[in-house]
Amino acid sequence: MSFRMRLPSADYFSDLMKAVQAVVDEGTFKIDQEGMKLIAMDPAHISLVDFELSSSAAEEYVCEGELQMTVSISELMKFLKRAKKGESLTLSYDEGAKKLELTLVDATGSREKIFTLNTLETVEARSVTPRLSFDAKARVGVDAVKDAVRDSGVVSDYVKITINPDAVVFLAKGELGTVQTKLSKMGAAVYEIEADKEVWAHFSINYLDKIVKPASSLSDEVVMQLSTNKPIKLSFPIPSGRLEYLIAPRIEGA
Amino acid sequence: MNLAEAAERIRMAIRSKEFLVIVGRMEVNYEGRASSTLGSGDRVLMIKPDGSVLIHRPTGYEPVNWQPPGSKIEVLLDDRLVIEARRVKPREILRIIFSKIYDVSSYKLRDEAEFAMYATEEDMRKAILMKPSIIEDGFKPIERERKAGDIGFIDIFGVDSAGRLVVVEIKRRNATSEDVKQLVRYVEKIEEEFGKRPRAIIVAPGVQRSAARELELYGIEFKALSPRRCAEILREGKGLERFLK
Repeated sequence: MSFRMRLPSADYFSDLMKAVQAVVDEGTFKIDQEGMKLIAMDPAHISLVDFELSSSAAEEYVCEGELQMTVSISELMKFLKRAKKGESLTLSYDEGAKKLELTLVDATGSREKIFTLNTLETVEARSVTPRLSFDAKARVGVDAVKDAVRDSGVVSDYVKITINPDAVVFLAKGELGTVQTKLSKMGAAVYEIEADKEVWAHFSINYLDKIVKPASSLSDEVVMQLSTNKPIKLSFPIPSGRLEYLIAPRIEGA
Repeated sequence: MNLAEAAERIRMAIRSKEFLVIVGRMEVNYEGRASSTLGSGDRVLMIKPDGSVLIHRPTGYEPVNWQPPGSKIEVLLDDRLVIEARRVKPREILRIIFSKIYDVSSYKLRDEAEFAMYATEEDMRKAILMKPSIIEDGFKPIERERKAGDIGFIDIFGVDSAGRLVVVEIKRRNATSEDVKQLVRYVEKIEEEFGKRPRAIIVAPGVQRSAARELELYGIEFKALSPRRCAEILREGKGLERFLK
């Protein structure tokens, strides 16, 4: 069985893979007529990425049946880094040969580069998007979140994220002192808050930063969903696809 | 310390296979798969009884130069003190040239402890308490470190799905016949206290052959569980899994 997908921009796919790499280094993609999907947790099982690129993102999309492809994302990134601006990308995978071919073609069609990546033994992948319910939701500018996370990192490894009906608050406490960022509902960085009450939980700054940084080059906003002492869901709206993350909270004494 | 005196001490220590630590001002040259030189500076040289050689600079956690176990060490003395660590295959020479020696110490070191890479017995106990079903379905822990008369402490004391008492003994290595005997003594103490015989389970990665017979003889059960699996359970307990049911 095989699959072939031609994307107008190699850069875009490269950014998507960077966003997946924030959670996993080795990933199993499930590919079918609808598109390619990957749901995976990091080795410490603290974060999860739920990625989908639908066939409508492709100029050309051919997939016979259902197949799985396991690749080292860092190896794939080595190839994708060679893509120049304006180059298109065609991915083609032959399940039997266990090889993924990446073809980069420049805008004028005068040069074609073909990279072949050996894929890995397929491991049975998670296929169901986890369902969790959340008590609060906020749609926020991604740069404001990125800054808030980084500012928190000055004093601590953890940040308390609070969503209340009026604001999204990031609070970090360390030996050095405290850092607080308040993004008010009235302000420009907050597009929407849906919350009846205040909810909060603590998260690792390392994980937040690893995720928010690459995702910020794909989306201008992030939807944060939260319940007290429960995982946070970060959804980055992307065209013809899905890019969502879950991060486990840090619970005192656990 | 003068160089001649130091050379004598170093030779003695190497001959008697001692762990050697030399602090001094040195230059280092390496020839082999590559070649490198490191100019004069204050560093710590360690020579281990197995022939491993490590040179540490004042900062950083990694040695700046090293030779693997099995290197042959030679000490030469003229106006400077030179230590050479040679390997034949691949041919590698690490040459350390001392202009000053601040200190030489050597030790007969003993270290037979096992490196617990995944989980300690305490971690295994935590993992079982966190997820008792890894012992068996329906197992409920009641107490940990429960006193068994005056002979010791039971790792985990609980009840099974049928309501019978269960004594659990945890080992991170294969269970020995000594472990079985110890568990039998706990069983007897619990029987004295409650008037009925509890079930007894040894939880360990495996059972030594000599102990296998005794398990059967005393009616002790065995449940395979590795420290590695316990480490995974503890890790899952901290992560997302507990929210994704």
